[in-house]
Amino acid sequence: MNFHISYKAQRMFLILGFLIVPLALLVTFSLYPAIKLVLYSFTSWNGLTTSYPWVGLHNYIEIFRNPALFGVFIHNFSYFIGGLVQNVIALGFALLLSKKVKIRNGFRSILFIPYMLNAVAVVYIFQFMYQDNGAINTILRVVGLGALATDWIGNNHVINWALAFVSLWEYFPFNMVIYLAAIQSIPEDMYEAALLDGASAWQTLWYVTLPNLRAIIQVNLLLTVSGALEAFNIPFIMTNSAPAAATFLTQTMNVAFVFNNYGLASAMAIVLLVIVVLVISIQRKIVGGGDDVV
Amino acid sequence: MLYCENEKGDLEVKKWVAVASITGVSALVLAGCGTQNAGASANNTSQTGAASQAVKTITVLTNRTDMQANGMLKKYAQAFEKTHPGITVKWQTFVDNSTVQAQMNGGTYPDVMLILPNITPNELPQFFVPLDTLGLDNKIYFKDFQSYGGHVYGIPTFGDVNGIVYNKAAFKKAGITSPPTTLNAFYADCAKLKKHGIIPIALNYTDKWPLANWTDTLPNVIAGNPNYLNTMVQSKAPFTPNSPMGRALNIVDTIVKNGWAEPDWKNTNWANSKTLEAQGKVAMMYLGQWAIPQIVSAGTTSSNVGFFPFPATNQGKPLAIMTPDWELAVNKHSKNIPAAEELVKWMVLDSGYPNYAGGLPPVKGMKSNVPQIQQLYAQAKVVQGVPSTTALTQLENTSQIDINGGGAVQTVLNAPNFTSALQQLNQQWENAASLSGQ
Repeated sequence: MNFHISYKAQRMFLILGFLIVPLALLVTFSLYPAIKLVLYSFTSWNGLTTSYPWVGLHNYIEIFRNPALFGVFIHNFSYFIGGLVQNVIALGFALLLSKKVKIRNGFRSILFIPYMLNAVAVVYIFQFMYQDNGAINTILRVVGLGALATDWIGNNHVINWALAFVSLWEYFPFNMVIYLAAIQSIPEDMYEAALLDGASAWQTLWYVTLPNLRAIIQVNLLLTVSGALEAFNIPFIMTNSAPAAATFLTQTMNVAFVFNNYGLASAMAIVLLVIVVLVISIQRKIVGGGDDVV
Repeated sequence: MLYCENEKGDLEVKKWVAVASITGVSALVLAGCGTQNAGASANNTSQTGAASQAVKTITVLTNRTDMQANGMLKKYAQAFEKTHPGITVKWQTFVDNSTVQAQMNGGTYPDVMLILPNITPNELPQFFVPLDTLGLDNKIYFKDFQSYGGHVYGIPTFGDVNGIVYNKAAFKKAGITSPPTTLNAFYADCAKLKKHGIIPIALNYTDKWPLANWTDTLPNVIAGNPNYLNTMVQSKAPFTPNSPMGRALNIVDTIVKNGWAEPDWKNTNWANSKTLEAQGKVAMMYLGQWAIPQIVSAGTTSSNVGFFPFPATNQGKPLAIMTPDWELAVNKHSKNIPAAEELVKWMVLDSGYPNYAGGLPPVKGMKSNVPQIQQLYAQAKVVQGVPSTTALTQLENTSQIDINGGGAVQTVLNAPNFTSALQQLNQQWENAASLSGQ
């Protein structure tokens, strides 16, 4: 048999053939659920029945009116601050480790270990450390700082900072590795030129290294800021989302799975998305950086 | 078509199985030859009739992942299949309600179901068949717990009764000779226990569910009315300090304020506490009878563990309210409804599961194997619980006050001020009530 198809048609056929699978996957697992989520957010669906009572914007109004829902963002704030500190620490270690330090690779491995550990295991470790007779309080008492010892999980003023610290400890190695890779990809001749011009170490850092890292700092901040707004696994595992440690996401879970209001929970998910996008745009305005990232 | 006990002998059944499988195989083979032949063989199968009966498989949902791990579920399936030839039982376990919920929403869910706690009575007919014809009505307790429009939709697997589970040795060490019968005596005993270095009562705050009794049982006990919670929907402010709900929350708040709970009470869980209670480091916990065998197996003897009704007030015999645990139901869309109904019947009457689970047998006259239950009954006025109304569940969900899961207790205990915490709850309740009134 002989096929007489024009080159153009063959091209179209090929392109479609290659696109159909990824497009089908995209639509099934990404677009369809997203559209459904938006639709649910205008209903009071209870997650079970086949009726989807339309409630208009009521869910969105409820989120901002009910302090138990929107108010918990105050708990996310500590993760946000923790995220900023985390980036500073990660950048600091990356700068140190990019120099010719003795057993550099050994330090790198040790610092990277927290990120390699299973997230659940990390939370359990800290659960024991934060107990009244746990490691932290014991050490504080031994070195004579017993006055600082507190019930890290029980004290409402401390708990979110304690949890944010777990997040910092677990995720800073990831930022560090990214910074390290970026630092090492800065061309050596730039440093040579700086050296010839008589730049001090501080000037080299400020005028050569950091400007070259701008795009990467942007990416890392994006990851940590959205991570802070979406903090979930640590309060969920450590405190079972107790009121003192509830974050916006654990509240969303509660609304969906305890109070069976999937409509409201969907609206919360969308509000969170909008907030993440807003915060990131603000951050991009402040930090600046190339348009080529994110 | 009503399913009847299969009276055929084993041999005959095997023959039918053989016939069925041969027809099945030939159907497969013939399917390749053309539609006409395949249609003919399908006709044959339906003519033999009984053959289709011989290959019934029913899927049964259970929350007991532990019984799957230790092989008990398999034993139950074998025992059932022995007395009910022609039915194969396939278990499906779950940990998270939401996975089952997704199945139900999709319309494909196990033949024998457990009624999820968030299904309101008016939703029962959407998912399950009425079980009025099982003939269990007069034989069991809680028969109308999961019912709607005069039809029964759920049969309880076993019953629970709540009270204080205590370590007798710890009581003796603190010089307490008999369990308290008034609230004041209970407080005095807590103080005595604390003085002797024993944690008076473990709350298990972090787990959340062990706190549920303080809001979903104790208010009923205080009110002396198992239906009290349902009447809350008529009140604009059920969380005032003098209401049964407010008094119940006040008791748990008093326990915490006086240091009678665990020293680090915000970081505690049941798995840990049961060992501590077995060792006598914790004296009491407010849970159900099911906790007794677990505490015993955590390292003490059954004779060392006692059970008494919560002395919620200072006068009269306290109530002990019996409520059903998980309830079995039959999927409305099941292809094997009669077989599924047989399994429900068997689970309740013949399986021995209620006693294996350490529960109150739902069948009248069947004896429980937890001896402590008699101790509790002797000191209490035993009444049957009342199911939550749709209105109550909906108001709880709209107001986001978690009465049944312990969340409300967490909120109150976590708040800096008890009175303002109650005011906040009242506010939420009123807002929700005005919304649902629209």
